[in-house]
Amino acid sequence: MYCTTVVQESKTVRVFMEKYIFSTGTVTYAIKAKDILKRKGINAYVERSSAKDRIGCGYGVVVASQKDVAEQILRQYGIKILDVKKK
Amino acid sequence: MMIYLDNAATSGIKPSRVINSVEYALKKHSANPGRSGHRLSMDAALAIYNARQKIKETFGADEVENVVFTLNCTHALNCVIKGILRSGDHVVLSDLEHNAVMRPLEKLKNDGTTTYTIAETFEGDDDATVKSFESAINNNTRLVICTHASNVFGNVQPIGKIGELCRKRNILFAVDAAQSAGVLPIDMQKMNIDFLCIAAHKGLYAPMGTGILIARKPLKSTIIEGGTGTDSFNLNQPTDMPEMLESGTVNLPGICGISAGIDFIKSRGIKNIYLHEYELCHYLFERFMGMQNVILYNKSFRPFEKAPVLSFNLKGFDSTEVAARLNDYGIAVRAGFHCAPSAHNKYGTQDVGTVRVSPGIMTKKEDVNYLLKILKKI
Repeated sequence: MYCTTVVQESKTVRVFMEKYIFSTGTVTYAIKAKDILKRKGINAYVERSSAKDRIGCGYGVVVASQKDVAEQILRQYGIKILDVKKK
Repeated sequence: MMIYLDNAATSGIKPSRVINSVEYALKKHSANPGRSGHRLSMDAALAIYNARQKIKETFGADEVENVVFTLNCTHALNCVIKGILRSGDHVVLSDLEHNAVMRPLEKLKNDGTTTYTIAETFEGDDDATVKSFESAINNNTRLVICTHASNVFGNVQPIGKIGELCRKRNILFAVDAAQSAGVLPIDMQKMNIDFLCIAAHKGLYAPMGTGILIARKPLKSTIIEGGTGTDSFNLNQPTDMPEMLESGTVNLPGICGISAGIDFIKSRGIKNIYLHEYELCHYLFERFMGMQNVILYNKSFRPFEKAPVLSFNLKGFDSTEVAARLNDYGIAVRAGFHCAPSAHNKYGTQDVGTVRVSPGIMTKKEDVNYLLKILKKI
């Protein structure tokens, strides 16, 4: 889980951001997805997807924020999303 | 040191940036891309993706995933021909095609699957050539294949006009750009090219064993099936591009070489490369016109009507004998039939073949002058 520290009026609060992986199947689509999201200002990286997930065995793109927006963008750009999972 | 005038076979002198990139790939990206999740594999996958991106931009492809790495141009053409054609389909091709097109089509014809018609091309008359293609089309024509430039006589074909004809008739259009990619401008979208087949080891100055297929339309089947690093429990070949056509480990050092080769041609400028090579051929053509023992086959050698490929013969000599003599003097040319029987039938050289001179960007005028000097001695 992605963790960031935010200071609010002299007290420190830890905010845990949930990461999601969009399984794209191929590494080519995963890198393409990452590039599209980065162009749109969403941080993303490519990761090998879990072996447990036979549908998505291959690669996916991971985002730590704006999951719904990211999904919408990827679908808009014709990226086939095989599965979306919380990491 | 040989004077290398056989660039139509492969670019003999590779730029140092290509050599360095191959070495760098072997040292720094020596992992299997698209298979593992570790950093080395991911770096390798990114290097390949970046190469696809450069190729996409260079040739006006629409999507990066439509750029497929193949073994060579022949492999790319086979992927198209066998991936598209079905029983009853008809193909139209030019009378200048290489055996990379002729043999797969002949095989399908002998299997009773498809038929083909050879359209006559007209040197220096694009409209007549397009008309000839149009006449060869019938109701079953599914695919038109045309070489962008003859590998024997250099004739550049009106690809944009043939592409327009195919678009109007709703026929798929494949271009063999073995002699033109990196030398002549190609824009798949503007030229209505559905499938572009490239010999990256020629005009893109990449290592041998590298080819490219850019497919703007889906292929129905594959000629090789196997591991893609994805969807492993599915025993059917995945249909996602480009992995559908890239089973097995890809040639990562070669692909990095393509990437560097594209940087090289862009730094020189494709038009500048063409003009340099064309001017050397034109210079040779003009000198040959004044030599009584030289037989030429091209009517003229005008810019952008010819790729930098010039065929000739010496009276009284077999073409292979001339090439052997030139080799003795340290000059590398190719002789014989250049795997293009149809082109030789067209020009009446089916019994003797031709001596083919094909300069590259590294060729100097003094190299061509040396060739002329030696030919006068022979």
